[in-house]
Parts: sequence; structure tokens; C-alpha cells
Amino acid sequence: MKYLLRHLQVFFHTLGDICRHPVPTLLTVMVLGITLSLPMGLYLLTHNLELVSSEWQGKPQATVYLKKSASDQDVARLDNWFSTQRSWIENVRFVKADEALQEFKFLSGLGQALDVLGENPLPNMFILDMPETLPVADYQDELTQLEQDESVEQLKYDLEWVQRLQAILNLAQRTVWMVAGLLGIGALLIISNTMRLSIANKKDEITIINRIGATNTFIRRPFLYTGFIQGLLGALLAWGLIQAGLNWLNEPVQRLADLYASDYKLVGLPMLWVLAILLTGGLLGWLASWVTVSRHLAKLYPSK
Amino acid sequence: MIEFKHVFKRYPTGLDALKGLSFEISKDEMVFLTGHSGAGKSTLLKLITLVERATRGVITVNGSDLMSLPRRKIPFHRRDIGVVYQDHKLLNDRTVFDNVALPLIVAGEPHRELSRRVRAALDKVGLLGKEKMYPLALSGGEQQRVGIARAVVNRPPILLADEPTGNLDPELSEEIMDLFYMFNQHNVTVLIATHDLQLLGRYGKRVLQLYEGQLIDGFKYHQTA
Repeated sequence: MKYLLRHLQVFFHTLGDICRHPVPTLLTVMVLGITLSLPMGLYLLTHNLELVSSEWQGKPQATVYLKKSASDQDVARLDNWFSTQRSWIENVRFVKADEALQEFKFLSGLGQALDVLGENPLPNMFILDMPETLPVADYQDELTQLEQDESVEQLKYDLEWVQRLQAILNLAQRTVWMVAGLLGIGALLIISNTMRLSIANKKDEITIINRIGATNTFIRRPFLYTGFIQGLLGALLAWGLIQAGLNWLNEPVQRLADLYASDYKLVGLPMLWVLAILLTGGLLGWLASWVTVSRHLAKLYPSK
Repeated sequence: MIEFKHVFKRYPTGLDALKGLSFEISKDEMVFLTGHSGAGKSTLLKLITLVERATRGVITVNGSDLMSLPRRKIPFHRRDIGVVYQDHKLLNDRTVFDNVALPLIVAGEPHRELSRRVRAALDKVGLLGKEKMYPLALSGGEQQRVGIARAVVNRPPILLADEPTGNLDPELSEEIMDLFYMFNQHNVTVLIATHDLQLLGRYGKRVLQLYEGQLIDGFKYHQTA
């Protein structure tokens, strides 16, 4: 109870100190806020990119047009064969010529004109989905074999560009992660350095209190509180900056999404993340203060 | 109360500050420590408060063996020793009251005791009524008195002073020295490093004279006035 009371005393004393001298704290908090907002913002960017690319159905696909002469037995034979090729075929869909015609009529709006033809010009077909991560080279032989099948009229596939795009997206994502990681480390260093500076100003005070017989715990306590509060405020500012940035970007993104007839929305930080970030900011400030004060305190004790 | 036996102190720079120092100060004694600058006065005081550790020898203060005192016990050891510095070492952004209260807060004294004891200490040095002022608004002599009040506020058995009158004119110096004398009368062991030889004659106390890290010989000034 007494212990808790003393902690509360130090906490409110620290708050009072910050209110009495707001400028240095304000500067520190701004430095922390901006440095923290960079990796956070980049993370959000990758997160949004991920959502965009997953919404977009960019799976490699091949269409197998069958000959008019192909019989039901041929279709069954091919279907069987596909089911043995699960290593490179994710999904098989058989589209009958009639269904294809219906779909074409519907999508093209040429309904009546097509009726004039009398005979359905479209063949039966298979649509194959391939896994996006598998290189085309791995199943090139099978595709060639399929193309030469007696009941296959034509095989249409355009796989490489899909995979290239996927690779580019992966690369972009990884780059952003790397930059975000570096910025995160940078934020840590900047926080430590800022704390070091603010403690350098209090060196004399620390020395005097140490000479009077204060334990290290006692000396550290107010600095730890200051560090925690500053870190927390910094994280809060970072969150505010990001939220403002999102609001600013939201309108043009919405317009772009409308143009693509997409209902895509920018995603903000989930509440749990915000909490985690605030806590992390506070802990970073706490940790940085702990390290710097302890290093200074170590110098105050004698060696032989 | 304070005992040195064959104490050597060599600084990392290779400087030998103390070379085989032995002396003893008994309880309730008041002793002056003199010597030219660089003779080792400050080093001796720093060894007593464990700001520095001796290289060799035995130091016993207030019953503890300082050579083997672990680091975590140093703060508690320092609470038994009040120290007055030549440059006061006050916190200039805190009031006189807060400065004097610091040793009590550091030692975890209950809050209701603070005010009474700070006032008592300030009363002894004649600064009652200046609690709310800031150190820089006070004269040099007054600042030194604040330093003394801070050193005695938690009633330590030992009081050390490092050139406490170094920056003061003779009249003020005398007043400050009288304060130390008064504390000694109230059963505080006092050790004062000073090169103000004129002043020490007044009190008829033992004088330890250091010369290049060694004691010349303990002698006593006789009261002249």
C-alpha cells in the first residue's frame, strides 16, 4: 500500500513536471510521434496492398476447347485424366457448349443475332485453375501433351504475366517490410537518443541525489515514468498522424475504386492494434530511459 | 567512528592520491583536515562516502567495513553521513524546502514528518522563513547554510565538509564554522577539510595535516582566543 502510494506520488510529480516544462516534452513527443508513424504507416500500406491483391482474382487459368467431334466418352476420359493431375491443377470446371452460349448471349447482348445462326458455334470446354505459386515450367510438358490430345481443338493459356505480376507484388511487399523494419529500428535509436539528451540535462541532479543516499531504484523511477509518458504520448501522436493521413487519402482512393467499380475501402488500424501500439510506445520510452539512466548510474559507483 | 589503516588510493590515471594513510577519529570528535591542494583531502572524504574505493588498506566507518561493503548497500551507508560541499551542490530548480527535504524523501520518511524536520534543520542554520525561495535568490553564505541544513536534516552521526568556507569572506566563514562546532556539541562526529588555517585555531581541535598523500603528524591547535 505504502509502495503503491509512493509510486502514485512519483507519477503525479512527473506529470506536474511535464506540465511545468511542456516545451522539452512536446519536442520529444513530436520526435517520437513522427518516427513511430513512419513504420506504422508503411505497415498499413502493405496491409492495404495485401487486401487489394487478395481481392483481385489473379489465378493462372487455361481454357481447353474441345473438338466438335469429341464424344461424351472423350469428355469423361479427359475429366478422369485431369483428376490425376492434382499437382498442378487446382480446380476443373467443365462448361458445356449450350451453357457457354447462354453465358455469351447474356454477356454480349447479342442474343437474337445468335439465334439466327441456328447452330451453336461454341465448343464444349474445360477451364483449369492453376496454383499461382507454381512456375509454368513445372507443368509445361503436361500442357503440351494436352494440346496434342485428339479431342482437343485448342488450348489457350496466358500464365506468365499473372505470375510476373504476383512476383512484382511480392517484391514490393517485401521491400516495404524491409523499409518498415529499418524505420522501426531507427525509431528505437531516436527514442534512446532523445532520452539520453533529456537525461544529460539532469546529470547534476542525478549525481547529487545519488550522493545523498538515494538507491538506483529511487533515482530511476521518475525517469521511467517520464519515458513511459513520453513514449505513450508519442505513440498517440503517431496514431493521430496516421489517422489524419488515412482521412486525407480516403477520398481519392474512393474515387479510384469507384472508377474500377470496386467496393474497396482503405483499412485503418484495428482497435487492438492501436492499444498494442500505445503500449509499445510507452514501453519503448520506459526501456530507453531505463538503459540510459542505468548507464549513467553505473558511472557514479566507484571501482577499485 | 572513522578509522583508516594503511590506506592507499591509486587513480586509474596512475596518480597515487593516498600513500599508506592511518588515523582514527572517535565518536563525537571534531577534526580538521588540512593540506595544500592535491594533498589528498578530497580523496579522503570520497573514500569515507564511498564515492571512491580504496586500492588497499582497511577503512571502517560507523562500524561498517567499507572495503567489503557491497554496492547495493552504498546508498544506505551514505544516509548516515551528511556532506557539505564547497559549491553547495543544491538543485537550483527546487525551493529551499525541497532541497532540504531531499534526504528525507530519499530515505522514505513519512510525509507528515517532512515539514517539521525541514523546519527544525532550517531553524538551526538560521534560515527559517526562506523555505519557499530558490537557491539562486540567496547569497553565497545562505546557500551554504541550505547545504548544511540538507546535510543534517536526517540527523546523521557523521558530518563531512569539503572546503565549506572556500568561497566565503572571513566573517561568513566564521559563522559557518560555528555551525559545525554547534553540531559537534550535539554529538555529531565532524570532519572538515579546509586550508583556512587561521580559522581552525579558534576551536582547539585536532588537525590532520596531509602532505602528498601522507599524514605529517596529528597535532592540536591551542585555543588562542
